[in-house]
Amino acid sequence: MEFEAVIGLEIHIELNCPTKLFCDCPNRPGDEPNRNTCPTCLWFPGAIPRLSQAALEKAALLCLGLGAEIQPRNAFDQKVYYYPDLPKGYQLSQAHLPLARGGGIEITDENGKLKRARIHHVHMEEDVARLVHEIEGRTPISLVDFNRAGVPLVEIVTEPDFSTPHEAIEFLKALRAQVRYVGSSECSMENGTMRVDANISVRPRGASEMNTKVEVKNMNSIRHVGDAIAHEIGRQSASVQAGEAVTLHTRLWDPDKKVTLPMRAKFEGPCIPDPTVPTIELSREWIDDMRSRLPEMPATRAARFVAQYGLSGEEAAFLSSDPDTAGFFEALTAEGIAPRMAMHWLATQLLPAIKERRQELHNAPVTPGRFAALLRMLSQDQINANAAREVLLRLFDGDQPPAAIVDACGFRQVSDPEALGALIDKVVDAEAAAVADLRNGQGKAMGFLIGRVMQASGGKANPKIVRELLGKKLEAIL
Amino acid sequence: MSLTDLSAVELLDRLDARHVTSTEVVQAFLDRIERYDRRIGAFLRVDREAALDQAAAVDRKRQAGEALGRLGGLPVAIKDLLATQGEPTTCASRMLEDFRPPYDATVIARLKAADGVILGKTNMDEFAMGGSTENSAFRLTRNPWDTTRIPGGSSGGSAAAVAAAMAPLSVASDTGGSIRAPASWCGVVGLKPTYGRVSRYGLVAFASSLDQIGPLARTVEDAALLLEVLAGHDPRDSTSVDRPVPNYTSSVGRPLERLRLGIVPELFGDGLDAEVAAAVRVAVDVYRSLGATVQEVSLPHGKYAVATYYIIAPCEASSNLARYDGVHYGYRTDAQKAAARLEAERKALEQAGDRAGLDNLDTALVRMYRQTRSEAFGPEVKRRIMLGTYALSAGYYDAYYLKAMKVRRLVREDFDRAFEQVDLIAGPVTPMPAYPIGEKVNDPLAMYLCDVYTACTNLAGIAGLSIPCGFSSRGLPIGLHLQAPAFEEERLLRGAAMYQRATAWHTRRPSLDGE
Repeated sequence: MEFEAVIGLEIHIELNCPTKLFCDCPNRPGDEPNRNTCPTCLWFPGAIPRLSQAALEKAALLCLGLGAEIQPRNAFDQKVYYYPDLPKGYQLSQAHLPLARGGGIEITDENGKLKRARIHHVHMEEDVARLVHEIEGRTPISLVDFNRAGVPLVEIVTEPDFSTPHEAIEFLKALRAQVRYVGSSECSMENGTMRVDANISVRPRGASEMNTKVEVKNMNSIRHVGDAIAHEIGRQSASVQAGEAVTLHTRLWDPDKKVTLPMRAKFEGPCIPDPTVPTIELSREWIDDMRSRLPEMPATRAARFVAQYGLSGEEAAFLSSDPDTAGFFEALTAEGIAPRMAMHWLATQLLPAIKERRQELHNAPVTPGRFAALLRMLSQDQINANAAREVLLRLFDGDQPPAAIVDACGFRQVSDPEALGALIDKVVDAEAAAVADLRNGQGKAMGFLIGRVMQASGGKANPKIVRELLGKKLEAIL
Repeated sequence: MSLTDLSAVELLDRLDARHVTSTEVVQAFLDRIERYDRRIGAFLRVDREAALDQAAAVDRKRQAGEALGRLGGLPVAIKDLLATQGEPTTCASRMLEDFRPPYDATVIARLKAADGVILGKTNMDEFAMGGSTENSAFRLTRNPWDTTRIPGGSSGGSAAAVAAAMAPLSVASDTGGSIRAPASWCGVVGLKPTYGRVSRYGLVAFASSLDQIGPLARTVEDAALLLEVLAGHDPRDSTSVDRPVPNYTSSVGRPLERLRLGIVPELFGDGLDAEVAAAVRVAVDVYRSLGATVQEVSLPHGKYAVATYYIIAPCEASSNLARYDGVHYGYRTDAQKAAARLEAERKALEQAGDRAGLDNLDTALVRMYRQTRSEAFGPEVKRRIMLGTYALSAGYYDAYYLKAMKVRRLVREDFDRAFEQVDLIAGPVTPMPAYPIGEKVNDPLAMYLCDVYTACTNLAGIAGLSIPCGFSSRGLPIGLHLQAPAFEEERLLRGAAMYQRATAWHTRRPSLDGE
């Protein structure tokens, strides 16, 4: 029997607002443990949560960026369950009246066909504390770090619209790009600011029924999400084939063994309306104001890049997938760098160099201004491409202007016809054999001679002018 | 006449006229506490030094001609579920016996800013769950009018302290009648403000959608004074409503003209003590004589109030009390003893070859939680946690919780309709006068039924007040319940004050020396 998968995703995204969702503590979960806490996020008796407007706005922008409909009335519930990382005994989450419903993202399936993946709803909730398990002497101990308790999250719940790992990956990449665009989160699965749970079930290909699903957690990269889904489809297909029933439960992805392992039966605690955070009433004007704050979104920006800069669709999509990259590219063109050159050098040189150094484009020492200055020297033939690559690497070491580095390293190109003419004369004299080859019609010798001149110049000669002058010289003597 | 016989407003006049100092006033109340509280048991803690220091500070300010807050050095007793920074805030529970909150409740901050002097923390039913203060883990509070009887609850300590003139004012909380019932049984004035009128920040939550902080005092004017200090918007409690606080003290003396007083015939049916019914009817006649028109109104869903309340309050309580796990603050069981006992159980099960028993045995952590909660919560708190957990459990949620929420809305709508016809609703506060200590302690249902007249006020989120309106043949106080629409505390106080001026019930004092 051939199977097809039905996949839905639940994505938790940590909002990057300065404070927590219900108190004024800094939203910096990575600080020294329990530094960013107060009676409210420690859930002390008598403390009362109060909703952060900044978090509400970031969450609303995120929803609007996804085309979801903000609900004029939304509210928090208490999801009642106890766990050591949630000692308050309930999580504040929007179970009944979410912040937004609907929306979706266009993705391409394996065959390049466009497909719309729909969003069921988006709700806000608070993060729980972090448990740290350690060994003290020989005793295993568990510590609780409340820095993360109350950190603002949104959860995006999709419709079960995916049927392959590829589609899920495409969706997550596009989602990440969109959320980064609106500036609500960095969406890094590696750093835990984006966490993905996949709900997967299988059914005979072409069937319409929905079978029991399994939830898979603990993937810390988009690639792992794809791997985990692929593995889970295989596992479920095999067990259905063998006549075993799939039971509703949660599994953990083991990235080393590349398998999913059972974790626990899925637990649904009761949910009661929270009486402490009043119902959130959002006016039409407020929603419109939020909408007016939306930046140009990736798909629109890519289309504009094609029209405005003559880039290919693929290039435009690449650049606009990340707001920093797109912004950097446009900053370069604003500095007068030709779009193709900007695109090429950004994609093939700068971004790999930044990735290698584990830096971020937005705060790397190579600013658009410095990079443009470098590219301008290249396009004006003041340096050659090899030298430009060399200087780029040195831009990471300090804040010197590229011209200073070029001069200090003696990279400035020699384009003076007189000086180059003298070098060419010497090389032609010394390489009589090659000149003879040329005379016999062997074209390869031309490149050899140019190489010799370059060598003689210590790499500084302008190859274009060398070729020009050498051509003239040979024309004269041949 | 001694200082402690004076009302708060009278004391304030003398303080402002510099006839007495705050130190003298506070000392007078401290002396009275010293003398009588061994018998009454109203206070869990009295910090003499701190109170006298605070009083001296106010005196210095007054001496220096500095502007003083509204309370100008008046002492106030605080129900022990309001967070006082660095000071024990126990909720009369073993669980929080050593808990010292790192912050002040907003009302405490307001009291301090108003130059109120905190006398001490008063006894209560554990976590405000109960109607007699018998559920305190620490001590029994006796009714100053008859020390064999309960003072009511859960704010029994506050009501007894005010009734016995051990404090002129007290701040307490009311979730289903916890201010009004003890006020009625102790013969003082108790006001539950509209939900949202007073910030709950720092009130240890019992049922957050019902809890409200309010004043207890010997006169309506005193209650008005204290409410004026307590009320107002607080950004730290988003359910506190941002609307101006009327000047209750200046308006309280103005009678309500053309008052339309509502009475609810259903409330005078079975279960209401004849003496209480008679006292309330006479009180209604007093209003008539003052020019009020009396009109019957119906609260058809009032009969479901107790049932509804005893679903919603325990549901919220079960979720609010989950946090007491012995890990972060409060009581924790002796971990070594718990571990040793667990180990002994494991060995016994191993010897018996009881595989299932071994599989079900707690982990050390779960045993710590279980043991902590078992040891530190009293029986009534456990009962409510179980009631709530049960009502919220899968399969029962719709039948209990959702249904209760629907009835709650109907109760609110009943009041909306009634208040289209009348300005205030009058009735009994409690079905009977104070009952003997121990009478209902093993009959929770009988105890719960005492909330029959007060729980609706909280379900509807409106304002309610108890004012003395007579005495039983045994000399026990009887309270008149007045209810007003949301945010009509001014109307409520004016309506109560006009009754108070026409009667003398509030001037009677329990005799404490005669025993």
